[in-house]
Amino acid sequence: MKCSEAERLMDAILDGDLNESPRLESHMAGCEACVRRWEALRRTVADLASVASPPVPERITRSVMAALAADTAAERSHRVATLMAACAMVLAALVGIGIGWSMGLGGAAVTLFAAVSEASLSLVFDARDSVGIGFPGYVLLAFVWAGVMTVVLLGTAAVGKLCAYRIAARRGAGDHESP
Amino acid sequence: MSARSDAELVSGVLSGHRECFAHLVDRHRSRVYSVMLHAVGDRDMAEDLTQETFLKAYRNLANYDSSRAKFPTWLLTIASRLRVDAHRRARPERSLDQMSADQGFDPASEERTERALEAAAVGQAVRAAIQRLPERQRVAVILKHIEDMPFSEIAQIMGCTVNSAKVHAHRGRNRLAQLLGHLREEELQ
Repeated sequence: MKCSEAERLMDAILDGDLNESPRLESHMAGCEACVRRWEALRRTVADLASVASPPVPERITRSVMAALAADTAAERSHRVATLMAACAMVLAALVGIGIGWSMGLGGAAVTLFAAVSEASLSLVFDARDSVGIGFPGYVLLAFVWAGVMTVVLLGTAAVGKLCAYRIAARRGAGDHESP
Repeated sequence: MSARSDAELVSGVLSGHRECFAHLVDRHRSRVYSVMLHAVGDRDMAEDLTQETFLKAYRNLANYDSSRAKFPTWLLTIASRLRVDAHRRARPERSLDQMSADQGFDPASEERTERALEAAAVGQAVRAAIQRLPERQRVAVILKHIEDMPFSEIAQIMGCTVNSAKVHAHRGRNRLAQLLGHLREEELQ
């Protein structure tokens, strides 16, 4: 038997795949190099087995459970903040619709306002997730965003209304001149 | 409660009984910490990675399939990935230096390794020598010869075939024999 085959048998025994090998013993009876190798590997495995398990810090369980509790609290806070901000956005949208209606801007402006408010809501949610602001900051951001959207949309609707009024006035003037 | 099997405790956690997870941590923290400490050679980092392993396991518990792996095997698979990520982030010198401070031992010096062995600090010498093995050889040797795990589970943890896990363990064992002074360089070839 060649030494390379003897090494494979040594590995099989050290891996626990073989209990013993008469062929290996027979080979080692005439091969000093393999005897040295076998002794070295056995001593190495014995050294590894003798390495004591390190003392485990008791606090690991407490730390893990505390971290899980903190995770749960943060998740709950996240849900409450999301709900509150959604309520703020809906409230702001209703206020904007009421103002627009009272100014006589008509159904088109109100529909546009509602659609853009809904789109802006998702933008606010994304902003909160990416910036990581706290609960008060999030509600404030929602209100500020809703206020800005209200001003922009009411301004746009008012300009549109003014343009429509001027066009109607020019047509009226043209009608008077034509006869 | 502690007599319940891992699968029962996992079901308990998934049913909303978070205290069941504390029993799982108590039951398996020793092995996870031991593997981490031998693999990274730094107590603080081993503790952090052990904690991170259990947190990640909790978050992914719904994905655990008991028919595919034993719970400790699944845990050590998570631990193995976290350790590889941490190894990429950290400078390798840090863990070795920290280990020297912990153990009064300089693994960078082969001569000192031999001296420490002569001083009968076998455990320290072995731990320091393990640190000098390549990553996968180190994991295979720790799991096989310190944790006494079968190659089928080692292969699962390492994400390789059983034969590949064996090759890593054989090479690691040979290299360790040489580092510990049991085998001369020329005999290793």
